[in-house]
Amino acid sequence: AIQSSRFSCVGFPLAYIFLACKKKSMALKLKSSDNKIFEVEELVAVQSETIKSLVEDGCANNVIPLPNVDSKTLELVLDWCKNHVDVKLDEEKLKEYEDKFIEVDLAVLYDLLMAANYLNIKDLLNRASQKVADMLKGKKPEQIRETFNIVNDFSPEEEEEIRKENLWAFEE
Amino acid sequence: MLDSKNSIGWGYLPDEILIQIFTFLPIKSIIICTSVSKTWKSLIQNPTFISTHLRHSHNKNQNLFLLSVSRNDKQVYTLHKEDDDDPDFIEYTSFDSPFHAPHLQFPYQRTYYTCGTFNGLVCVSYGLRNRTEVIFLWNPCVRKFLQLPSPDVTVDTHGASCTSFGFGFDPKTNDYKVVRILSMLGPLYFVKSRPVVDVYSLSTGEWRILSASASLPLICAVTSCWPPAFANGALHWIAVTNDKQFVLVFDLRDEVFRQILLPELPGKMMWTRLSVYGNSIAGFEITRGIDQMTQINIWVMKEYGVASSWTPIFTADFAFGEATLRPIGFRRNGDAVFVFGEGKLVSWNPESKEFKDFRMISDHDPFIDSYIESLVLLDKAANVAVTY
Repeated sequence: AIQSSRFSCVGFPLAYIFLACKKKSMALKLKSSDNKIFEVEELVAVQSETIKSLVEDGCANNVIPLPNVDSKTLELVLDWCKNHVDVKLDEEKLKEYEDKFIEVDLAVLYDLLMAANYLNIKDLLNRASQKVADMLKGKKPEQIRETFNIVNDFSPEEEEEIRKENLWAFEE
Repeated sequence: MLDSKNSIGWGYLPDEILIQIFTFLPIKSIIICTSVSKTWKSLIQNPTFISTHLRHSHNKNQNLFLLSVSRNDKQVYTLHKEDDDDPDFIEYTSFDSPFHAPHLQFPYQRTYYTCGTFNGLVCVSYGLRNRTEVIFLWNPCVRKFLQLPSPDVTVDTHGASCTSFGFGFDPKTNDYKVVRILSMLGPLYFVKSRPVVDVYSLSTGEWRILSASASLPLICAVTSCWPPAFANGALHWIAVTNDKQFVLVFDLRDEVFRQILLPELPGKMMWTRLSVYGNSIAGFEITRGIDQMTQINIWVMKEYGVASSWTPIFTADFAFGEATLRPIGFRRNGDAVFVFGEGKLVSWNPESKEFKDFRMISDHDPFIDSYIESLVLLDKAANVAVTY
């Protein structure tokens, strides 16, 4: 059984990838958590390091299930990937695209972060993290908690102690 | 609107995503985030996050320079951004020295010296130039400093000595170290034996005497009280044995000594101090002759560790009464930095041979080195490091 699985997972697809490389790109099928199938070019999909290693291990010849990403998010992520595979886009246009892309509400931003992390797409994770950081910047702790719905688990005394120790950072 | 999944989600983001987000924040915001929740606090005040943040800081390549200047009679450290396209030395931010609080003030003559900086930490000593009384490690970005404990080796235990100490980083153990070289003095201040060397490590918080000093020449001394140059993971002092000067190298990784030859200078001229020059070192020679002439020479070691690559780049003579230049270091682009006359800072380009005025007045003993913003010391408890 080990022999045959090695054959199907490594041996055969190596030749397949070789052919695929010659053709520049082949189509991969991705399945979202809500069972929608997305057919995408390999060049687009392998911007995800997670998918790339699946392809390299030869485990991408069937539908790739992505149980942690819903179809709404996957559509956005794939749009990001499509725009980052196109080398014709100049730096300025790309930045324009990224800035517009990341203008989403908090719930979508959260999903994008989780998806970018799971799919291991560095530039998307960076851009989404940067966006969250921009929202944290200049806010007071209570404003941060309110925006992101974070429970304050410090006692008032503990919180005051942190504030007092780093007074310079909390001053207006 | 947030749906129910997300309203609980943000507080429970995976650590790696939170860390990623925090690295994009300015240091002040990072510190504010420590008071948002216990999870956030323990994630930030953590050696792993501090290292990740440092790596990001390195990758950002901000090309910052730390400079100690005098402003309204106060010692201030200014941080400058050095852009290739912009030759000006633009001030980015400044830090007031915390070491002027009344309880730290000692009698006159004693003063604060900057000994070195690495990964955002600045090593500051207090005392006379050759008789340090207190040593501090200070991170101005997080406004924290700690005072080193008193070393075991003192005048009482080992007799009179000339002390020079240096600060650097050991990448092998990820530790910051302060190294003291005590050149033991005999009658009439002759050097009487091998130096005694002790090392302080930030991770242990303790001094220990180093047996590796047994490999040093029998009669050998570091007589210059200038701080050594930290380059290539090693500290570099000018040392002297049998009237011959050489570069004494102390590798912070293996804690072993090595020697590098210094170029011979004509006549009675002596090397005064070493400075970091890119990934290598440079030597300064400042001689005040009996005829009151001042001569300055600068040599750089183009290829680190290769004695034949010592190359003279600057020489100047000054007549009696003339305002003189004092070399203090180098900018990232290789321009030498001098103090001119009373304290005017100027830089000199080796290609164009032209001087450029910084339009800044240095402090009594200016310090200049490249700098990086970091969170080092942020994980130290309040009983170890002082936050001011």
